[in-house]
Amino acid sequence: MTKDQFLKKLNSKISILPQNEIAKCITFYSESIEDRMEEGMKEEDAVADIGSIDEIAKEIINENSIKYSLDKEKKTKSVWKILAICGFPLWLPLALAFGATGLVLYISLWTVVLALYTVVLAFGLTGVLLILAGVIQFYRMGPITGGMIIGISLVLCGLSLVIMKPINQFAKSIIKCSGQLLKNIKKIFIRKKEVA
Amino acid sequence: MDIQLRRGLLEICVLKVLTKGDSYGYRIVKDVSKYILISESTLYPILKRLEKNNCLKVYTEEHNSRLRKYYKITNIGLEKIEDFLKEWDEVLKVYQFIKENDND
Repeated sequence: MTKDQFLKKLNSKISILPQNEIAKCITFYSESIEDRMEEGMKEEDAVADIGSIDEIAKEIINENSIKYSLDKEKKTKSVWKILAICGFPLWLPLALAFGATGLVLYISLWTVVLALYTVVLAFGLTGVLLILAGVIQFYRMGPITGGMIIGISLVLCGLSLVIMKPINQFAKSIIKCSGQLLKNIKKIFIRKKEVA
Repeated sequence: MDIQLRRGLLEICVLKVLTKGDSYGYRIVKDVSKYILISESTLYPILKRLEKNNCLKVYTEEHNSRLRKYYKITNIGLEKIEDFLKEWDEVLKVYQFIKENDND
Protein backbone atom coordinates (compact mmCIF):
# COMPACT_ATOMS: atom_id res chain seq x y z
CA MET A 1 0.00 0.00 0.00
CA THR A 2 1.26 3.47 -0.81
CA LYS A 3 1.14 6.37 1.58
CA ASP A 4 -1.71 8.05 -0.31
CA GLN A 5 -3.76 4.87 -0.36
CA PHE A 6 -3.20 4.42 3.36
CA LEU A 7 -4.26 7.98 4.18
CA LYS A 8 -7.33 7.76 1.96
CA LYS A 9 -8.42 4.57 3.65
CA LEU A 10 -7.82 6.04 7.08
CA ASN A 11 -9.81 9.11 6.09
CA SER A 12 -12.81 7.01 5.12
CA LYS A 13 -12.63 5.00 8.38
CA ILE A 14 -12.72 8.08 10.59
CA SER A 15 -15.10 10.11 8.45
CA ILE A 16 -17.63 10.37 11.30
CA LEU A 17 -15.26 12.68 13.18
CA PRO A 18 -15.23 16.48 12.80
CA GLN A 19 -13.30 17.77 9.80
CA ASN A 20 -10.48 19.42 11.79
CA GLU A 21 -9.99 16.24 13.78
CA ILE A 22 -9.64 14.19 10.60
CA ALA A 23 -7.15 16.70 9.18
CA LYS A 24 -4.99 16.59 12.33
CA CYS A 25 -4.95 12.83 12.32
CA ILE A 26 -4.06 12.56 8.63
CA THR A 27 -1.17 15.02 9.11
CA PHE A 28 0.14 13.03 12.03
CA TYR A 29 0.21 9.72 10.16
CA SER A 30 1.48 11.29 6.98
CA GLU A 31 4.42 12.71 8.95
CA SER A 32 5.10 9.38 10.62
CA ILE A 33 5.29 7.60 7.28
CA GLU A 34 7.54 10.27 5.80
CA ASP A 35 9.85 10.13 8.81
CA ARG A 36 10.24 6.38 8.29
CA MET A 37 10.95 6.83 4.61
CA GLU A 38 13.52 9.45 5.45
CA GLU A 39 15.27 6.87 7.58
CA GLY A 40 15.58 4.68 4.50
CA MET A 41 12.46 2.53 4.63
CA LYS A 42 10.63 1.82 1.41
CA GLU A 43 7.21 3.47 1.15
CA GLU A 44 5.37 0.16 1.46
CA ASP A 45 7.42 -0.94 4.46
CA ALA A 46 6.91 2.41 6.13
CA VAL A 47 3.14 2.11 5.69
CA ALA A 48 3.18 -1.47 6.97
CA ASP A 49 5.24 -0.41 9.99
CA ILE A 50 2.57 2.08 11.08
CA GLY A 51 0.17 -0.75 11.87
CA SER A 52 -3.38 -1.66 11.00
CA ILE A 53 -5.74 1.09 9.89
CA ASP A 54 -8.61 -0.47 11.84
CA GLU A 55 -6.59 -0.30 15.04
CA ILE A 56 -5.67 3.34 14.41
CA ALA A 57 -9.25 4.30 13.59
CA LYS A 58 -10.54 2.45 16.65
CA GLU A 59 -8.17 4.32 18.98
CA ILE A 60 -9.05 7.73 17.57
CA ILE A 61 -12.78 7.13 17.56
CA ASN A 62 -12.66 5.73 21.10
CA GLU A 63 -10.80 8.77 22.33
CA ASN A 64 -13.21 11.12 20.61
CA SER A 65 -16.36 9.31 21.61
CA ILE A 66 -15.28 9.60 25.24
CA LYS A 67 -14.99 13.33 24.67
CA TYR A 68 -18.33 13.47 22.90
CA SER A 69 -20.17 11.55 25.57
CA LEU A 70 -18.69 13.87 28.20
CA ASP A 71 -19.87 16.89 26.21
CA LYS A 72 -23.29 15.33 25.86
CA GLU A 73 -23.48 14.71 29.59
CA LYS A 74 -22.64 18.33 30.26
CA LYS A 75 -25.38 19.40 27.87
CA THR A 76 -28.05 17.26 29.54
CA LYS A 77 -26.87 18.56 32.89
CA SER A 78 -27.35 22.16 31.82
CA VAL A 79 -30.79 21.29 30.39
CA TRP A 80 -31.73 20.03 33.85
CA LYS A 81 -30.46 23.22 35.43
CA ILE A 82 -32.47 25.39 33.03
CA LEU A 83 -35.57 23.30 33.69
CA ALA A 84 -35.03 23.63 37.42
CA ILE A 85 -34.75 27.41 37.20
CA CYS A 86 -37.60 27.97 34.72
CA GLY A 87 -39.88 25.54 36.54
CA PHE A 88 -39.21 27.24 39.87
CA PRO A 89 -42.75 28.73 40.24
CA LEU A 90 -44.17 25.31 39.46
CA TRP A 91 -42.00 22.96 41.48
CA LEU A 92 -41.62 25.12 44.58
CA PRO A 93 -45.32 24.94 45.60
CA LEU A 94 -45.34 21.30 44.55
CA ALA A 95 -42.34 20.57 46.73
CA LEU A 96 -43.88 22.51 49.62
CA ALA A 97 -47.17 20.61 49.26
CA PHE A 98 -45.31 17.34 49.08
CA GLY A 99 -43.27 18.20 52.16
CA ALA A 100 -46.36 19.33 54.07
CA THR A 101 -48.20 16.11 53.19
CA GLY A 102 -45.25 14.07 54.39
CA LEU A 103 -45.09 16.03 57.62
CA VAL A 104 -48.83 15.63 58.26
CA LEU A 105 -48.62 11.90 57.58
CA TYR A 106 -45.70 11.63 59.95
CA ILE A 107 -47.42 13.61 62.69
CA SER A 108 -50.67 11.64 62.35
CA LEU A 109 -48.82 8.35 62.69
CA TRP A 110 -47.29 9.53 65.94
CA THR A 111 -50.65 10.88 67.10
CA VAL A 112 -52.18 7.41 66.67
CA VAL A 113 -49.39 5.94 68.80
CA LEU A 114 -49.92 8.62 71.43
CA ALA A 115 -53.71 8.06 71.45
CA LEU A 116 -53.30 4.31 71.93
CA TYR A 117 -51.00 4.78 74.91
CA THR A 118 -53.44 7.31 76.34
CA VAL A 119 -56.12 4.62 76.23
CA VAL A 120 -53.86 2.19 78.10
CA LEU A 121 -53.01 4.87 80.65
CA ALA A 122 -56.69 5.81 81.05
CA PHE A 123 -57.68 2.19 81.72
CA GLY A 124 -54.83 1.75 84.19
CA LEU A 125 -55.36 5.03 86.06
CA THR A 126 -59.13 4.59 86.27
CA GLY A 127 -58.58 1.07 87.55
CA VAL A 128 -56.21 2.18 90.30
CA LEU A 129 -58.41 5.09 91.34
CA LEU A 130 -61.50 2.85 91.32
CA ILE A 131 -59.78 0.44 93.72
CA LEU A 132 -59.41 3.34 96.15
CA ALA A 133 -63.02 4.41 95.57
CA GLY A 134 -64.15 0.81 95.98
CA VAL A 135 -62.39 0.48 99.33
CA ILE A 136 -64.04 3.69 100.55
CA GLN A 137 -67.47 2.60 99.24
CA PHE A 138 -66.94 -0.81 100.86
CA TYR A 139 -67.12 0.88 104.23
CA ARG A 140 -69.67 3.57 103.32
CA MET A 141 -72.25 1.66 101.28
CA GLY A 142 -71.62 -1.90 102.23
CA PRO A 143 -69.73 -4.85 100.76
CA ILE A 144 -71.97 -5.40 97.72
CA THR A 145 -71.52 -1.97 96.12
CA GLY A 146 -67.90 -1.74 97.31
CA GLY A 147 -67.12 -5.23 96.06
CA MET A 148 -68.67 -4.49 92.69
CA ILE A 149 -66.63 -1.32 92.31
CA ILE A 150 -63.43 -3.12 93.31
CA GLY A 151 -64.28 -5.87 90.83
CA ILE A 152 -64.80 -3.39 88.01
CA SER A 153 -61.53 -1.66 88.91
CA LEU A 154 -59.64 -4.94 88.80
CA VAL A 155 -61.19 -5.72 85.41
CA LEU A 156 -60.01 -2.31 84.16
CA CYS A 157 -56.48 -2.83 85.51
CA GLY A 158 -56.38 -6.26 83.93
CA LEU A 159 -57.66 -4.90 80.63
CA SER A 160 -54.98 -2.21 80.55
CA LEU A 161 -52.31 -4.88 81.10
CA VAL A 162 -53.82 -7.17 78.44
CA ILE A 163 -54.00 -4.49 75.72
CA MET A 164 -50.53 -3.17 76.61
CA LYS A 165 -48.70 -5.86 74.64
CA PRO A 166 -50.51 -5.60 71.29
CA ILE A 167 -50.37 -1.81 71.49
CA ASN A 168 -46.65 -1.95 72.14
CA GLN A 169 -46.22 -4.09 69.05
CA PHE A 170 -48.47 -1.84 67.01
CA ALA A 171 -46.50 1.22 68.07
CA LYS A 172 -43.24 -0.49 67.16
CA SER A 173 -44.47 -1.34 63.67
CA ILE A 174 -45.75 2.21 63.20
CA ILE A 175 -42.38 3.65 64.22
CA LYS A 176 -40.71 1.29 61.79
CA CYS A 177 -43.19 2.31 59.12
CA SER A 178 -42.55 6.01 59.68
CA GLY A 179 -38.80 5.41 59.47
CA GLN A 180 -39.34 3.63 56.17
CA LEU A 181 -41.47 6.53 55.01
CA LEU A 182 -38.71 9.02 55.82
CA LYS A 183 -36.16 6.85 54.04
CA ASN A 184 -38.35 6.63 50.94
CA ILE A 185 -38.87 10.37 50.86
CA LYS A 186 -35.12 10.87 51.23
CA LYS A 187 -34.49 8.40 48.42
CA ILE A 188 -36.78 10.30 46.06
CA PHE A 189 -34.89 13.53 46.70
CA ILE A 190 -31.46 12.02 46.50
CA ARG A 191 -32.27 10.31 43.25
CA LYS A 192 -33.54 13.63 41.90
CA LYS A 193 -30.31 15.27 42.94
CA GLU A 194 -28.27 12.67 41.08
CA VAL A 195 -30.23 13.28 37.89
CA ALA A 196 -29.86 17.04 38.23
CA MET B 1 -0.54 -4.86 32.23
CA ASP B 2 -3.75 -3.13 33.20
CA ILE B 3 -4.87 -0.79 30.39
CA GLN B 4 -5.37 2.23 32.64
CA LEU B 5 -2.00 1.72 34.31
CA ARG B 6 -0.30 1.29 30.94
CA ARG B 7 -1.92 4.41 29.59
CA GLY B 8 -0.83 6.40 32.64
CA LEU B 9 2.74 5.10 32.38
CA LEU B 10 2.88 5.89 28.67
CA GLU B 11 1.82 9.48 29.31
CA ILE B 12 4.67 9.96 31.75
CA CYS B 13 7.16 8.21 29.43
CA VAL B 14 6.23 10.56 26.61
CA LEU B 15 6.68 13.57 28.91
CA LYS B 16 10.03 12.21 30.14
CA VAL B 17 11.29 11.79 26.58
CA LEU B 18 10.34 15.43 25.93
CA THR B 19 12.44 16.63 28.89
CA LYS B 20 15.48 15.72 26.78
CA GLY B 21 14.39 18.12 24.07
CA ASP B 22 11.49 18.83 21.74
CA SER B 23 10.58 15.86 19.62
CA TYR B 24 8.18 14.61 16.93
CA GLY B 25 5.84 11.63 16.58
CA TYR B 26 8.08 8.97 15.10
CA ARG B 27 11.07 9.82 17.31
CA ILE B 28 8.88 9.73 20.43
CA VAL B 29 7.69 6.26 19.42
CA LYS B 30 11.28 5.10 18.95
CA ASP B 31 12.51 6.62 22.24
CA VAL B 32 9.63 5.32 24.35
CA SER B 33 9.74 1.89 22.69
CA LYS B 34 13.07 1.19 24.40
CA TYR B 35 11.18 0.96 27.69
CA ILE B 36 7.55 0.16 26.95
CA LEU B 37 5.71 -1.02 23.87
CA ILE B 38 4.10 1.88 22.01
CA SER B 39 2.85 2.51 18.51
CA GLU B 40 1.64 5.59 16.70
CA SER B 41 -1.95 4.51 17.18
CA THR B 42 -1.48 4.65 20.97
CA LEU B 43 0.75 7.70 20.90
CA TYR B 44 -1.66 9.88 18.95
CA PRO B 45 -4.48 9.94 21.54
CA ILE B 46 -1.89 10.38 24.32
CA LEU B 47 -0.37 13.43 22.65
CA LYS B 48 -3.84 14.83 22.13
CA ARG B 49 -4.73 14.37 25.79
CA LEU B 50 -1.45 15.83 27.01
CA GLU B 51 -1.96 18.84 24.76
CA LYS B 52 -5.51 19.31 26.02
CA ASN B 53 -4.25 19.22 29.62
CA ASN B 54 -1.58 21.80 28.76
CA CYS B 55 1.22 19.34 29.56
CA LEU B 56 2.78 20.04 26.17
CA LYS B 57 2.71 22.55 23.35
CA VAL B 58 2.69 21.82 19.65
CA TYR B 59 4.52 23.84 17.03
CA THR B 60 5.28 23.26 13.37
CA GLU B 61 8.69 23.60 11.80
CA GLU B 62 10.01 23.05 8.33
CA HIS B 63 12.11 19.97 7.90
CA ASN B 64 13.52 18.77 4.53
CA SER B 65 11.08 21.01 2.67
CA ARG B 66 8.07 19.61 4.48
CA LEU B 67 6.30 20.50 7.71
CA ARG B 68 6.82 18.55 10.89
CA LYS B 69 4.96 18.89 14.17
CA TYR B 70 7.14 19.20 17.25
CA TYR B 71 6.05 18.69 20.83
CA LYS B 72 7.47 20.76 23.67
CA ILE B 73 6.93 19.97 27.34
CA THR B 74 5.42 22.72 29.52
CA ASN B 75 5.86 23.46 33.23
CA ILE B 76 2.60 21.67 33.90
CA GLY B 77 4.04 18.64 32.13
CA LEU B 78 7.19 18.79 34.27
CA GLU B 79 5.03 18.99 37.39
CA LYS B 80 3.12 15.97 36.20
CA ILE B 81 6.33 13.93 36.12
CA GLU B 82 7.19 15.10 39.66
CA ASP B 83 3.71 14.18 40.88
CA PHE B 84 4.06 10.78 39.28
CA LEU B 85 7.38 10.11 41.03
CA LYS B 86 5.98 11.18 44.40
CA GLU B 87 2.92 9.05 43.92
CA TRP B 88 5.03 6.06 43.02
CA ASP B 89 7.07 6.35 46.18
CA GLU B 90 3.85 5.47 47.94
CA VAL B 91 3.03 2.72 45.48
CA LEU B 92 6.49 1.23 46.05
CA LYS B 93 5.94 1.15 49.81
CA VAL B 94 2.72 -0.76 49.29
CA TYR B 95 4.49 -3.03 46.80
CA GLN B 96 7.18 -3.86 49.36
CA PHE B 97 4.53 -4.60 51.96
CA ILE B 98 2.66 -6.93 49.61
CA LYS B 99 5.85 -8.69 48.58
CA GLU B 100 6.97 -9.23 52.19
CA ASN B 101 3.69 -10.88 53.05
CA ASP B 102 4.05 -13.12 50.04
CA ASN B 103 7.35 -14.53 51.28
CA ASP B 104 6.02 -15.47 54.72
